[in-house]
Amino acid sequence: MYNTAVIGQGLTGLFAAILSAEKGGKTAVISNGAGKWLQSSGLFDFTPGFAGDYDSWSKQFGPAGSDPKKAVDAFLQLTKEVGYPYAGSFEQTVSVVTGSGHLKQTQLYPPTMRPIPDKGNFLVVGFEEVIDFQPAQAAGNLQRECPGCNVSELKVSLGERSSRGMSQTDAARLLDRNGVRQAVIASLKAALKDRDAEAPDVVVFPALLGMKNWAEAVNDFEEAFGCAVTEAPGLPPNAGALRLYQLLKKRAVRLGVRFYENTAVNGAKIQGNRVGSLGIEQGVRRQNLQAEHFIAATGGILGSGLIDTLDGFEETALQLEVDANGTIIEVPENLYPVGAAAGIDKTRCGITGGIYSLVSGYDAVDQITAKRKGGDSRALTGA
Amino acid sequence: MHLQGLNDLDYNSCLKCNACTVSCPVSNVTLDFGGPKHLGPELARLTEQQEPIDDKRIELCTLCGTCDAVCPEGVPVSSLTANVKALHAEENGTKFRDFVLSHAEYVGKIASAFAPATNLTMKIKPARKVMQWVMGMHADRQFPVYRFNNFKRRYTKKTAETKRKVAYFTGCYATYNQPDIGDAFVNVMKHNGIDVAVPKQKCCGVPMFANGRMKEGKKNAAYNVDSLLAYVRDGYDVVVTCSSCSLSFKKEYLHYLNSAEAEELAQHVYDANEYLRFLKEKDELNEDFGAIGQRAGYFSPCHMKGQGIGNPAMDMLELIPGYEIRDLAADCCGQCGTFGFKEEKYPYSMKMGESMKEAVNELDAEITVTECGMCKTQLDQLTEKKTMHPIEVLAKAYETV
Ligand SMILES: Cc1cc2nc3c(=O)[nH]c(=O)nc-3n(C[C@H](O)[C@H](O)[C@H](O)COP(=O)(O)OP(=O)(O)OC[C@H]3O[C@@H](n4cnc5c(N)ncnc54)[C@H](O)[C@@H]3O)c2cc1C
Repeated sequence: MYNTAVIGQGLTGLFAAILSAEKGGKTAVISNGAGKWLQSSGLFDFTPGFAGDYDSWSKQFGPAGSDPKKAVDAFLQLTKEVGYPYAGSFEQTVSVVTGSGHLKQTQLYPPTMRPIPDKGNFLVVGFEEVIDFQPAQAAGNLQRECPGCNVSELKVSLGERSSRGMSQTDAARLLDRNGVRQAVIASLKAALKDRDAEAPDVVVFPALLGMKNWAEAVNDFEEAFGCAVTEAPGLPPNAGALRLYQLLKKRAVRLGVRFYENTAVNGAKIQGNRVGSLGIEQGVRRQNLQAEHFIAATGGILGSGLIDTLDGFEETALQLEVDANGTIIEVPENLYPVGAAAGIDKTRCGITGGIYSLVSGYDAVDQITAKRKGGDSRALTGA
Repeated sequence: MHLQGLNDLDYNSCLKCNACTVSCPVSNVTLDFGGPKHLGPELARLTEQQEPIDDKRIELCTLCGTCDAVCPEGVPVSSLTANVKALHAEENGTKFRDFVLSHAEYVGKIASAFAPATNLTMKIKPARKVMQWVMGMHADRQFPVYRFNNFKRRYTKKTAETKRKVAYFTGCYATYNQPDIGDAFVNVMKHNGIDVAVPKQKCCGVPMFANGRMKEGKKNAAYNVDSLLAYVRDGYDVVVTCSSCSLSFKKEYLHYLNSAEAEELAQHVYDANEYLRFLKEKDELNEDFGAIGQRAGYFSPCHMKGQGIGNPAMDMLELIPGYEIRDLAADCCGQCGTFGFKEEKYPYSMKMGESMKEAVNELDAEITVTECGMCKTQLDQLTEKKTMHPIEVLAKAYETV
């Protein structure tokens, strides 16, 4: 029925599904949750928490796909098309500031998060209502990490009450509204007037610079301060990851990708050296889902595609036998484990960074497309 | 806990990551709602060893189930919030208005018996003002029309004689408001050589669950399970045209009734297009569709997304020659069953509807296709496009030569 069935709708699964549909493949996505991706910062690293560049990364973990640069370019183009254009490059590593004020190295960053220069005046802005970002803590850490900088901090009110703890994404939605933005800008200006400090070169906010209207929010704050502004992503979920997730999902749905949500993959029919179908489950209902090719983007340990038991790893989706690294021992010829589903040795501690997600997903779709063009298209002809 | 044991619900795997709350269509438009994380797993965890806490903010939960679909840990969030709704209704009593709204079936029976008068009254502004004042229904809300010639009057067949036999669960909307959907369904089945029987049935219970009237909802659920299961055991397939009714059989009944019978029924229930797709997979579908040159946008109801069956409506409509259909990729419509009728919920409902309206305008198709009668109510109010049920389009395609 489908050319390609993708298991998982995290970053890895969604990206692969979009590429597959763009190549004209009839594509399904099966998932039992939005994935751990929503909790990431929205920044794309080679390896999260590891300040390496491509060379050190590929030395440590082996070659990542046949043409990593092409995959990254495809992603940059895609984010431009969906309206949240990422920047950065495959070769170059940049410093960004996190919600705790530490600097981290990353490769690709969304338009609301900017690389940080190593000198200048920084102003860290927090909000009374947003308790999971403390500007004093962030400013203190940033000052320590960046001795050439002059860091100050400021806290103002958003002027809106919440009946639940105000998360950064709640605040981002408030700042979608022009009225709220203008009120915040006015109180920031008033607070700065009393201060007699030098004008900032960069203003650092928590990740709340608008949700849908991030472009207007960034623009308004930059105009108000006359300098660059950036988000410092903190506790999940982050507005950066959420913006991208929503836009990519919309893109996939508009492309006609079929979503099977609330659905667990629980076993597979293996015929010879091929996956014939997946066993899919919604509650007590169990069915088979057929496709020509299968991409496992189940997120490894974090994404619950692998569980670490006393007897070693178990692969939860197709329930194939895995080795001590969680890598499927005999990979059927039409199955493509991508992202962290490829096994914990592919990345550090089994946590794949965004770049590995892109590169391995791109590669899988490339191989599938080549096979389909090469005439290996049994499902297409109904056989 | 009074109504539902909470201990069988696995909220302990909640990591408080907030994925549910940032995806919740209500939380996204207002900070007045406590959000699914707090009113679901957090509250359950907090009250496990103590008296339950009645939290008024639960009134804003619509039971759309978006939280369930995004939770990375498999927590049944909306089952937890449904329990909190039931507790709240029990502690506070239900407003007369909510009692009326949750009894779509009684209202349907009475309103359709006096249909011309009902429809006229619902259209007159002063009468709607009175409704707002007396009943708390918002005066600006457009109500679905009621038909005197309802589906129960039109179609009374109780058994089927063909090889494949369908037991049709009509649901309140196709029975009282838009019996044309029922006619279209029977026609589509006829084109496939399948007889349709309409078993005895009561409202599926979804409006009751949504208004916290858990006991009554369960009563209806038990009645429907009994009635439909007899047909299943007689070799019928149960087919449903309303996405909320079908979801209740597949998901909610299992949780609320927790019985082997509910489980057995769940295995044999199909959404109407899911059933046609099943026939196609078995090579039994009549694909003799006449051409319809039309560009349509598909609006997916939350209760359809929640079923985890892909997009059967589009799978079918794409078979019609000349028919161009694309998914609007829209969020929740904001009507949410009975939610959008209520005076105090109306402003939230309108805000939620904005992104749906944007999606409809952005795609700019000629018509909108959706399975849900309540989503149609909101689409009719907020957009200029005509809205049809996919089965009506298919019936038209069979009749076009
Ligand atoms: C707190 C946190 C912060 C992070 N920060 C960064 C960062 O700053 N930069 C960076 O590059 N990376 C970061 N990461 C890593 C980031 O999460 C990964 O890059 C990304 O999540 C990988 O996405 P994925 O699609 O492979 O997996 P996931 O997003 O976990 O998706 C897995 C998918 O598979 C599905 N699935 C699994 N098993 C089954 C099954 N049996 N049946 C059906 N479906 C199944 C799940 O439902 C889900 O949809 C962070 C991670 C965390 C947790």
